[in-house]
Amino acid sequence: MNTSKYTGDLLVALRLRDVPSERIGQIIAEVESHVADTGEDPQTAFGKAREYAKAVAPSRGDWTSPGMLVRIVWGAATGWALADGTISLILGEEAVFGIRAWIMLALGVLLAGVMIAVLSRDKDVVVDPRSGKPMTLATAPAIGVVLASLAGIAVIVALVLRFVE
Amino acid sequence: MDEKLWPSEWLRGVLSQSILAVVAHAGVDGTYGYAIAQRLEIEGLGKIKGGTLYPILNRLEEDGNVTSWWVGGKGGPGRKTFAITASGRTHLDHRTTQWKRFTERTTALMTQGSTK
Repeated sequence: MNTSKYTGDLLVALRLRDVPSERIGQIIAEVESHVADTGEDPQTAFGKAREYAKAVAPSRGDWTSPGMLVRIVWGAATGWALADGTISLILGEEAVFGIRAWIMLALGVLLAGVMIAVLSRDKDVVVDPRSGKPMTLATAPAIGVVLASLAGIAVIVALVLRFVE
Repeated sequence: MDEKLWPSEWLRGVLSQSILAVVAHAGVDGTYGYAIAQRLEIEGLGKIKGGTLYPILNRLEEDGNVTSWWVGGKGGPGRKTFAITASGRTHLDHRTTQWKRFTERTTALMTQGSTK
């Protein structure tokens, strides 16, 4: 496994453990520096990315930590509100729980807005401790991707449920 | 960890102090990950992998026993350099004294069947 693929996987694993960006930068730089010295494959030297994330940040918890659960529920709720609001508006029906379609859609937009604002604040910038510059990692907005996927799944579920009725 | 050389549970117990001793020996200039792993191998503790070494170094730093900084690496991989702190040295001295007594007793127990 090449180093940039490994550090990308490691970044996602550390993000899912809610490790602060500053620590992530240090951990990734350590891996890059070590394998440059030894010439080893990063997975041989450090083990699987998920397991190494657990070893290096044992106290951070995994995706079941309260912070991550809030985000997961938030992502799913955003997708649901956007999808259900839009479908109900098009069909001219009420959304779930008898909520008006436009209110549901507005709620979805609000939830999405807050989510984007929180994610873009500073969370996704991993600074390289060696240069002080942001690290260029292909998977940098990992949590955003996870949340967007959840929102997408919620959209599909909302669509399926609506047309099954 | 090189389990063929020593039982892995022994290494787990003694590796942190051994790493701290290697860092202490490097003095104020400090030393870096790969050099620490090489030192431990030369000293006969076996081959220590990065995945074992850095979590221990990070814990030593969190506990205030070592300090670290990056050397070079503006355009390349660079090296994270570790040096022992004053409290790290006190900790190491204390543990070394304890370790001597511990090994004396366990050796006596294993060879003579008693520490008395």
